[in-house]
Amino acid sequence: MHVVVCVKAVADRLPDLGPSGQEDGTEGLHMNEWDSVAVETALQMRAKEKDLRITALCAGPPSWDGVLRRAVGMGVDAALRVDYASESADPSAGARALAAGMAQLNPDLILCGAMGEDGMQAATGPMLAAALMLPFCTMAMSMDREAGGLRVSCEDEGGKRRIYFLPLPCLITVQTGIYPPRYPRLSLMLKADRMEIPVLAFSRTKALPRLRLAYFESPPPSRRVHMLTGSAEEKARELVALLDQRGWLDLGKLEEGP
Amino acid sequence: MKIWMILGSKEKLSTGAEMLAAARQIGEDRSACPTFVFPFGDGAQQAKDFAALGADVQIFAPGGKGDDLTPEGALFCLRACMAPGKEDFVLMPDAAMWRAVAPALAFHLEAAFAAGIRALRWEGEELFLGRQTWSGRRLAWLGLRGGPGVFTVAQGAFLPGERGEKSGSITSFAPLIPGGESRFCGEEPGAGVALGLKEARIIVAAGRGVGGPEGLDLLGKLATHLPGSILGGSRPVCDCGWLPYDRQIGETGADVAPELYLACGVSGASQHLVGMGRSGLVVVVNKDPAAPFFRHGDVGIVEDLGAFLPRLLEVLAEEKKK
Ligand SMILES: Cc1cc2nc3c(=O)[nH]c(=O)nc-3n(C[C@H](O)[C@H](O)[C@H](O)COP(=O)(O)OP(=O)(O)OC[C@H]3O[C@@H](n4cnc5c(N)ncnc54)[C@H](O)[C@@H]3O)c2cc1C
Ligand SMILES: Nc1ncnc2c1ncn2[C@@H]1O[C@H](COP(=O)(O)O)[C@@H](O)[C@H]1O
Repeated sequence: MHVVVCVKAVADRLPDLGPSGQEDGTEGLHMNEWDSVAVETALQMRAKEKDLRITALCAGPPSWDGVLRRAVGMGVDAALRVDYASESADPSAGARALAAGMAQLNPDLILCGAMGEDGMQAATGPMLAAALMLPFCTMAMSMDREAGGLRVSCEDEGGKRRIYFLPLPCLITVQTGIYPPRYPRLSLMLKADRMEIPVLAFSRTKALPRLRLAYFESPPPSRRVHMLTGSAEEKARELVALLDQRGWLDLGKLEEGP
Repeated sequence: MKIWMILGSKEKLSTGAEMLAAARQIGEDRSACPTFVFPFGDGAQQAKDFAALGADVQIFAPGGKGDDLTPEGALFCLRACMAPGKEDFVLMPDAAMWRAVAPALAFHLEAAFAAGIRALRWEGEELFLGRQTWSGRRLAWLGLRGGPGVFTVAQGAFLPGERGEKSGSITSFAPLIPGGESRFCGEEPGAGVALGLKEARIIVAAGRGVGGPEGLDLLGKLATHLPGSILGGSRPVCDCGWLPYDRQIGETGADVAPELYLACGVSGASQHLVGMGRSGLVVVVNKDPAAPFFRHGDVGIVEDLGAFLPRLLEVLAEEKKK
């Protein structure tokens, strides 16, 4: 069985307010939080199943190799980067690039993160499934192998779960909490740093939806905040006074445990 | 221009009203005709109520498949009952299964996609869409020239407008048999909500910024001074096992509205805020002055909890001696 995990890099720094500029490529990057959970999920599957191979795949510029190396450091068997520079605010562009990578890798199971920390679109997984015509589900909180496929418990509103059976091949996006992601191992990281990451050229054939990222704003506040000032002690006293004034404080219970 | 508003059979009328408000903004002066579509389940009961909002309604003839659909099956149904043209838009709630289905549908239709839109406006021929990014620290504005577009609509972002002067028409179409190979196998309740969390007067909420079990112990001590209080947490706090999942607050946890919400080391991601926005007084403690939660609190304290909590407990101890 071949599991491909899609991992993306996220900038460490928030984008500036105002018209959206192109990142200059020198920014610090890290692996998307949900994708480290997806990598961990694949590693947990491999621990239970013989002959399971894991490849980490990203569609990004050369600076994204770092997150693929991290995935190797966590324990995946191989990595591939589809050479791709985002050119549209529409996530279908990235999904098409990833689909090109999949054509080469031929996976039985594709794992994605539930969403990117940056754009919070949660779109790439479902779009990639659509591109490859695969059965899919999102926000998996647990998955178990069954004959011919997987039984997946997906998170719904308010923490409820919906259970699906998906035949292989299929695509699943994973939610945090399914497994805590491990840290890369030093010995594997050393191997990853020396490794040559294969690159697949990609050229777009479809016209993209005419969607552009115009600018960033601070989201409008929903309340007017009063910031306490002074030393930590002064703020603590002011908070205690406020709690007391509103009748929320009971100073008699000091000796009791939580 | 046609605007389809897709809803599930158990959707609340208020969701429909908000979605219609968004549709009317998109369709402004463009002779749009927004239509509610209940592509599966038995929408017949709701059809009249939704039509009374002033939009046309399309429902399945009785016999439609219920809510036991997979994302794949739902996608199949939607593709079978809609063929948007260049000028058209499809809206869905930014919730649950729609989040899975909407991007896939957009891909098949070669439509532009945007998740969780919160604001809209036209500038000439360009439609601007506002949506939250970066855990709610940035509102991104996207510009779209020409449809089709598929958007999910954030809950509570659009104020329902006036009802239309007359009810819309109700038409039904033949039930579809969903295709696809995946199967729905049932529902599970999940962790549920801890006893007393919803009723609590005061919630002391821990975020990842509390740093670990020791930080939570300090919050527990603080809580003993606040009668009627209970500890709650953000999702990562529950993912790490510092608190059980039945204490999680937010979209995939509990929806709470205590008199006092004391948020410690919680960044204020939109998924957390939707679960506590109706609280009375909101006090936010965070070491990062740019934390988005400060924009959604009444009292803000920029401090490192590692130092601030022990200091706060000292002050309480002193006050007690007085
Ligand atoms: C579909 C979906 C559903 C979700 N549902 C929920 C949900 O129901 N509830 C929920 O909470 N989240 C939910 N999330 C996750 C959400 O997007 C955020 O990731 C999460 O709320 C962040 O939690 P946090 O604020 O505790 O952690 P972080 O975002 O890591 O923030 C930690 C904060 O603590 C501050 N901090 C750090 N150290 C200190 C210190 N020493 N002193 C003071 N402050 C410090 C930091 O400045 C930061 O602001 C969901 C996500 C998805 C995709
Ligand atoms: N360029 C990319 N390369 C690899 N994986 C990606 C890329 N973009 C998105 N993904 C995957 O899709 C998930 C959801 O991302 P998003 O649609 O951006 O919210 C991520 O968690 C990744 O698993």
